[in-house]
Amino acid sequence: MSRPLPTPADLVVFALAAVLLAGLHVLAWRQAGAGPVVTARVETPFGTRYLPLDRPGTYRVRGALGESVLEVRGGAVRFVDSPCRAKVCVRAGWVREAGALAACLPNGVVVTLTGPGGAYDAINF
Amino acid sequence: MRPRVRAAALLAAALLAAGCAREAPEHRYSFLAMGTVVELTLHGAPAGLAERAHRALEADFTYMERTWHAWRPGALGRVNTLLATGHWFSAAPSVLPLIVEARALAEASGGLFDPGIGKLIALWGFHGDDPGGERPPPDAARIAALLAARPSILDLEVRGIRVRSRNPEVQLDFGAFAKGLAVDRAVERLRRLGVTSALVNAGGDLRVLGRHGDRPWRIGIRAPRGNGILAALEVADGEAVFTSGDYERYFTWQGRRYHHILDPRTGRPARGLVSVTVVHDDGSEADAAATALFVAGPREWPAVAARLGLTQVLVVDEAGRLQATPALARRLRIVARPAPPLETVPLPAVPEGTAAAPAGGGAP
Repeated sequence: MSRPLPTPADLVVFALAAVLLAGLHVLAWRQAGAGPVVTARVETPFGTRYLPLDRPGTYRVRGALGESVLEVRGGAVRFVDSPCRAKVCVRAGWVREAGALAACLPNGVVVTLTGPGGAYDAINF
Repeated sequence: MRPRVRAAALLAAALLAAGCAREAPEHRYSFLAMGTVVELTLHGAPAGLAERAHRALEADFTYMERTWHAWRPGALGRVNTLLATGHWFSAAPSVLPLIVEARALAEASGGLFDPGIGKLIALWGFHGDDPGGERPPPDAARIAALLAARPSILDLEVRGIRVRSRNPEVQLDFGAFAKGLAVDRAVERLRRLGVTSALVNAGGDLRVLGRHGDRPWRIGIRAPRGNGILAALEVADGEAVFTSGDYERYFTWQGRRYHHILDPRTGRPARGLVSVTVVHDDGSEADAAATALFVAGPREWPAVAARLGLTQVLVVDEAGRLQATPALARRLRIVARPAPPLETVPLPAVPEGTAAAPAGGGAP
């Protein structure tokens, strides 16, 4: 009853299992998907966009009142300008922890840092 | 076990382990409601349940915002109009529970938390979506005139669903309380939907359900001045973490900050503390308590905390010094560098029969 191992049939089973697992992996990742890794998710009244934090630059996003200006540098993001009166968003400064959030509520622009390995699930303030 | 079978079993185990290595899915949603960003984080929930939970909470928050809004037309607006008449009226069922619970908390806090000062809040210009910027504070004479009328939620009489105000200057503003109640209701809704692991964060004030998989939920408490995180905290099932700070809504005038946490005794922004964090098993009580302790100030807060039945409080004063109750100090991990000094402050004993019992009416 001893046959050489693995038989061609075994190989087919293993290959099928591997394909199935790879498929499940992709499916599971897509399900939990929140954009690319280490990004600032920028939500505006006109849609959501993602800014990778490893690409420094200045970004302009349209909000309810006008244009908010965001700066990405050194793995962090901040509001440089916004058409609100209070400028709470600008004064909030740099946001760098995954799970942290900066927002210009009058302009309806919300920036959330998403990414794996964040030390915190949420920031209390 | 035969070699072939053993090899196949090993390979299958390896493949299975590779398949299981991925963590349970985490779903994050955010939406704008109640003048802030509401974040919902779910751990380990199937995608369909997560979607349902998100839709339910967004609808609930939108409803609560409309119903409890302090200066836009809605159920609370109607209640305020009727309060000004001094006549008895039937309060909307969506507002009545807030009046009853907030009255008890106002009483227990010795009036330091008082949602009956809506007119003062409006006078200071905090009824608006963007109250900041550079502008002068209101005229002292107008503040004094309002203070002389001593408006308080304790001026309301409640009989069943009938309510009236003995004081025409009382206008309700649940800004220091509604978010807590909303978060409580959100957590309750998630439970009923079958969610076992979630975090509801309404503009930095939050409550958790269950654990984040095999570990507790981890919270960073932001430093009130500057950018970083002040302290890390692991939060247990059902716990709420609420912070009141002078940096949330404010305007400046001639270099001075005028924030939205008004002292009902002076009619002006409370001074002495910059933030108060309360950890408690009830969101609405934590919310109201954070305001009451902020108003109480650096010397009085421990006595008020004891009277309100709190055990876990962290305060930051204007010099950046930290004080915490022993129960919270044990759990906090200060991560700010250089680490600010943390003083542990035991709460005074409360004389028998005077501790807060919000649901039952509170202390005299």
